[in-house]
Formats: sequence, structure tokens, C-alpha cells
Amino acid sequence: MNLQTLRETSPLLAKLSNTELEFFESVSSVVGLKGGEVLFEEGGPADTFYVVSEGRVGLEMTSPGKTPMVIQTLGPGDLVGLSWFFAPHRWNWRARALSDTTVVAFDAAQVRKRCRENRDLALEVLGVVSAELAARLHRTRIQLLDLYRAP
Amino acid sequence: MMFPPTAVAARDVIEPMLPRPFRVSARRVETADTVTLEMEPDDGQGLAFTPGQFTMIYVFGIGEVPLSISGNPQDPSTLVHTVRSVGAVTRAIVGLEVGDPIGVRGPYGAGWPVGRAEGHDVVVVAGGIGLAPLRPVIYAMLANRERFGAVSLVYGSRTPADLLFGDELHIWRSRFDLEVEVTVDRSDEQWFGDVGMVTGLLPRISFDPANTVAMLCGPEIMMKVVARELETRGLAPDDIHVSLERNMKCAIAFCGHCQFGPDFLCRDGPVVPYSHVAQRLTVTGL
Amino acid sequence: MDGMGQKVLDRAEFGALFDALGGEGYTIIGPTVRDHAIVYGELGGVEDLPIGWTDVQEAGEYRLQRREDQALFGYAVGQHSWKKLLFPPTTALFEVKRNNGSLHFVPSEVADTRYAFLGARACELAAIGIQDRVFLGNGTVDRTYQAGRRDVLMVALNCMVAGGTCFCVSMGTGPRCTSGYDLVLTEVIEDGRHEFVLESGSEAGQRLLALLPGRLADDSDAAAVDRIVAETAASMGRSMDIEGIKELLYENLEHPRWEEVASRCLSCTNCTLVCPTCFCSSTEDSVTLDGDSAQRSRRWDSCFTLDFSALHGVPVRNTTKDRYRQWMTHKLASWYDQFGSSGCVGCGRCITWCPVGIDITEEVAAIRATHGALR
Repeated sequence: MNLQTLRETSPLLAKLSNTELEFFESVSSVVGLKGGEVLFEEGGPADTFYVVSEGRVGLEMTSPGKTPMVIQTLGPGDLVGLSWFFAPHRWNWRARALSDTTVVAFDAAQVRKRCRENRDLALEVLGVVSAELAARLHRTRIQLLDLYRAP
Repeated sequence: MMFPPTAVAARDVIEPMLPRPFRVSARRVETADTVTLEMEPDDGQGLAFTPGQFTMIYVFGIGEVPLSISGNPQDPSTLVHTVRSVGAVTRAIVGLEVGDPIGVRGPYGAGWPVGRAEGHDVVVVAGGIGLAPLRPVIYAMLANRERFGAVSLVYGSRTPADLLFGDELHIWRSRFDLEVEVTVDRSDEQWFGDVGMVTGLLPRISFDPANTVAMLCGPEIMMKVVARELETRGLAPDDIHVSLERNMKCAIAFCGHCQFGPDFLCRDGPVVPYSHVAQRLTVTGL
Repeated sequence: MDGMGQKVLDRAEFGALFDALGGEGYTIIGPTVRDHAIVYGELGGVEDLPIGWTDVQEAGEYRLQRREDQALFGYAVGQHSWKKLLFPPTTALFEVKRNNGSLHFVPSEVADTRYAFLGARACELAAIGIQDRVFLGNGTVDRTYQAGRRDVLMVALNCMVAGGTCFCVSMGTGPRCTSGYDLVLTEVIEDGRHEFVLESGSEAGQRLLALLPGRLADDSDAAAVDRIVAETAASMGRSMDIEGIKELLYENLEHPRWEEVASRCLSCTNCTLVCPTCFCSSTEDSVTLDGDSAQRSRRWDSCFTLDFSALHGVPVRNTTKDRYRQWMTHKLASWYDQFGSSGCVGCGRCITWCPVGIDITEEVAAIRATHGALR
């Protein structure tokens, strides 16, 4: 896996300088998932985050007597997981591959440490994570309007 | 001298408000409240149209409504409408059966800029019933696929059960020359596709923002949000087209109902460049 | 003035105009007193005109009053306009018969009319010109309007008085009739004489003039007409500054004045019904009791009604503010984009017949005075 290629679709990686990209590469690993495999569990420690390279990942929450309902799907370039950036670093949702999927995993603790040492990097990462949060909030609000219902 | 000369020349104009008799020739249930009807003219004279145009459909004794044509422009012998039951007239239309007679006027209005899109990448974004007025564009582009660059369809629906044209979506998805992304607001246990708003899928499709024509149809809020997202991605507002909907009684710019600012949407629309209406779309109650 | 196209009829000779029009087969429509108002109806002769009457008009106010003289045209416009004849309040469109499961559509007959409009004022000629563009010059021809309009003989009138709500001078439409007529008359009552100066504006008018008695006009008659028109122009009850009005209204769609006027507006539709240019309509369907045939008709509609903008049963213009703004910005702004002119001719009817006295000239002035204000 070459992070340079993933840079084209990932807003997070696109923001990084070459030096920082090298650092990110040093704390990353490529993970292959079969459809249905879980990336992380709801309530688990958010010590890793992911960028989708190929395939799709669904965010879901379990509920008694029901198949877990997917509330959002993420595809190539998308950041999987935001809770790693915020205390208490615990996942709110379960992430599961919806098809055969390749993701790049990053060591969240290392990235957080690097951010504490490098304010410029911290700002860039904060900017990307906030923009992603704002975009997801915006889309969720539009979804809440239930626009396609019968008038 | 007293009488405007243009009018004298048009003295023997055909009856603009008089429907032509058609008959339902096929009916297909799309969703719980939506059907697709095929209709054939009693006189055998087909109804040629351009994608995005609409007709006025008259149901005996009940009334008339504007409906976008959802059929294939290459085959004008059959008129196809995909209708959702949302009022007295559409309820009656959805309830029609094969063999039932109806009246048809049209086609009317300005359609999608298919000609202008030639030589460009094309991004088609549909929401809910909004896929119906866009289906003729897909047909038109597939009929002359080599004339267009990358073509993609992004379609958002309320639930998997609300998706229109399921079989066709399946066929389109299997084509290598058409990128199809489908997403729903709420998934169900059988759904293995995407969940979320259509804008979330835009990063996945390939197009050159400097050389792309976008066509959007769906609820006004959805079109606004998608148009702004496409602008952010570098499309010029002139290259983004939206289809607007207002009350229509005559379809020939007489009744005044469909006015949206200076536009009679029956004649100047329903398809308009986003740049033309972007400001008006932010005013409440216009 | 061209003496050939002019004639002066004495009051005693004026009946000859009715005879000539009747002789040519015209149904004469003109002003007449009915229910304490001057309306447009069929005239049998001079005696049907509102002889010796005038009207007092203000915002939300209209009443008739005796004049000191026996003038035939000594008043302004009433609640009727010629619209009711050219674009009737209801029009049958077609009948449809259901027979063996088939539909047969039969277009409704268009009434064969041959009207002479007597006493159409400059603002009204302008209004008819505007509706000509709507119904004849807008891509599709409205056959009902066309059939009625084609054979109208226009006997226009230069106003001798201005009403309390008139502002044709501001709109550039009057009070002098400059085109769009077959004959134009000016009533002259001065120095003991009571005469009518008639001028033709078409071949039909010229022919008609030849059938009339009276003397040829001279320079003093022309001067009298000029004087009367000038006096009327100087006594307009209202005025409206239309400089840049389209941009003014487009730029003030969120002006607080809309809320203010909406708090007074009853959404009663009176202004649109009396307006000589308002053209909106709706359709209605009815079925016979045996269920075998149905009719479709067209009737006047108004953008002030809630269901006018209903989309799948939900009004787009949900508030009175939305609807008043639509009406006024259409009339004074988007009309320019649609038809190349204002939709207002300055006749003042919407002011007079508004039950709460909303005054379009005052509304424009209020927005202009605080251009750019936001709610």
C-alpha cells in the first residue's frame, strides 16, 4: 500500500506534508477484511483509526432482537472513526466491512502524541476531523428532514 | 393596425387546452405508492419528447396534473409516466388499470441539456421520485454513449423499498460505461448497499469538474445541497441543472400558477440552470 | 392635427355615434350606473351613460356623486375593466364524453362577439395592450381572448377628470390616448358649449367618422383637448416613483414592509379581480349526473388564495406576506422580465377597491424609503 496513492482520495492524507506522510506511513498497516468482518466494536478503545482504500465499511449499533442497523456507510478515501481524536477515545459505533475491503490502519496513540509535539500538524488534523464532523452533521440533518417521504 | 399582427397569423392555432385520448397499455407497481404506466394514443400518433419534459394528464371528471415523462425518448410510440399518489388526481392515475382511457396534452417545457452535455462528463443525481424525470436522460445517453465522457448516476432513496426501477438499476450497475451509486436514508435487514445522503457518495464518482454537466432532480432542499457540494468540488453553477416543481394548471404560461420569480416554470423550466435560480431558492415563500 | 380624421359633435348629435355603431352590427359596451357604481355594461343609447354623475375615490372608498353639469364621461374608472369581456371570469374549455371506454374531447364553442368598447381610457388601452402580450404574444395563442379581441372596435376616451387613486401619469400610460384605438373622443364642456371632439386612429374609425354628423375640428378644438388632458394630468390623485423599480423590489424580497402590509391585507383577492392586467386562472371539472360526460372550464384565480401555489396540497406561499409580495413584485418587477413592461397601468382600482385601503403607491414608497432594510 502506497499512501501517496491514497492521498488522492483521502482529505486527511492530502493535508499532510511529505515528512508527516512518512511518519503516518511508519505508524500504519494495511488490513484486509472479508465482508462482514468487524473493524472495531461499539464501546471499545479507539486506539486505531482507518482510511478506506477499497470496499465499504458500515457504521452500526446493536439492538436486541434486530439485525444491527447500518446508519452510515463509508467508502474509498473516507476516514473510519473519529472518536480516536477525542477523549475518552472510545468507539460509539461498531464498524464492519460490508464487502471485501482494504483499509489502512493508523496507530491513534502515536498520531495523538505527534500532534501534541507538533502544533501545525495538530491544526491540520483537527481541521480535517472537524470538517468531516461538520459534513456528517450536515448530511445527518438533511436525512432527519426525511425529504423523500410522501408529501 | 388595431390587432397585434402575430395573433392574426396564428388564427387557426390548435386547441392548446384540449387533451388527446390515450389508453393505459401497461402498468407496473414500483413501490407502495408509485406505479409506472405505459400509455398509447388512440390515434396512433406518438408523442415525441425531449428528456425532462412533462405532459398534462387528464383523468375523466377528476382533473389534470403535470407529470414528467419517464420513458425512452428513442421510442415515442409509448408514453411512460412514473406516478406517485400524492393527491386526488395522482391517486386516480395510480389506480388506473390497463385499458383505461385518459387525456394527454403536451409535451411541455424545457428539458435536460443533453445536447450541451455531449463531450462532457455527466453527473446525474436523483432523489426519491426524482429519478423518474431523469430516466429519459440515462436512456438518451446510453443510446449514444460514445458522445459522452464519464457518466455517473447517484441515486438517494428513503428506504430500500422506495427504490424505483429496481431491475433497471441492476442492469445499469453491471455496465462498465456507467457508474451507479445508490444510497438510502434508512437501511433495512436486506439492504447491503450504502446508507447516507447522496452528497456522501460524490467523492466516489469520477468526473472532471472543469468539464462536467450535472443534472439534479429531487426535493428542492436536496438539489440545493447537492448543487452547493458540486460547486465546492469545482463545477460552475451554469453547468449544474435542476428540475423545479410548482403548481401548474395550463402548462402554456397563461394560468400564472407556476411562476417562480420571473419564470413560468411550465415554459422556462422545469429544468433550469442552478445559477439562474440559486438566489431565489434561498427565499422562503417565493 | 389632421382635420380629415377629426370631427366635433354637439351633445345633441352624440346619439348618432350609437346609431352608427349599432348600424355596423356592434354591441356597444360602456359605462353605466348599476348598484351605486359605474360599471361596464351593454348600452342601448346615450341615456344609459352615467349622465351628470361623478365618482369620489380614495383608498378603500368609492361613491357616486352628482356633478353640477350633465357630462357623459365626468368620472374615472370603476371596479369593472374590459378584461371581463375579453378574458371572461369563466370560460368553458371542452366537453369530454366517455363512450365504450373511450374518451372523446370536444372543444367548447367560442362566443361570436362583435363589441364596440365605448369610453376605454388611456390606462385601459394600455391594460389591453398588456393582456394582448399575455394571451397572444407569449408563445401560445388563447383562442377565447383572440376571438373576442379580434373584432373589438375601440372608441377610446381622453379623461376629463382624474380619480382620487389615479396615477397613469407615473406609469406613462395616460391620460391621453395615443394608440390602440379606432376612435378617440374628448368631452368638452366650457363657455356654454357641450361637445365631443372625435379623432380616428384607424381605417375603421375613419369609416365610422364619415357616418357621423357634426362639424370639422379646428385649432381651437385641438387646443381644448390639450387643455383638458393637461388639467387631468395635473390632478392625479396618486403618484408612484418607478425609477429602477424592478431592481428595488428584487433587492428587497426580505424587506420588513412585507410583514407590515400583510398585517393589514385580508388576502381577499379584490385587487387581482379589479386589476385590468391580472390574468391568472384555474381550471374546474364537473361531471354530469349520469357520469358519461364531463366539462372542464377556466375561471379567474388569484395569487392571494392559499391553494393557488399548492404543491401536492401544501401551499408554497403559505403566508399573506408571501402572497402580497408575489402579487406586487409580479406586477411591478417580474412583469418586465416576462412581457417587457410593467404590469401596472396606474388605474388605481386596486387602491380604491381594497377593503382596508392598502395603497400600492404607498407600499412602493415605503420600501424605497428604507431600501435594504431587513426583517
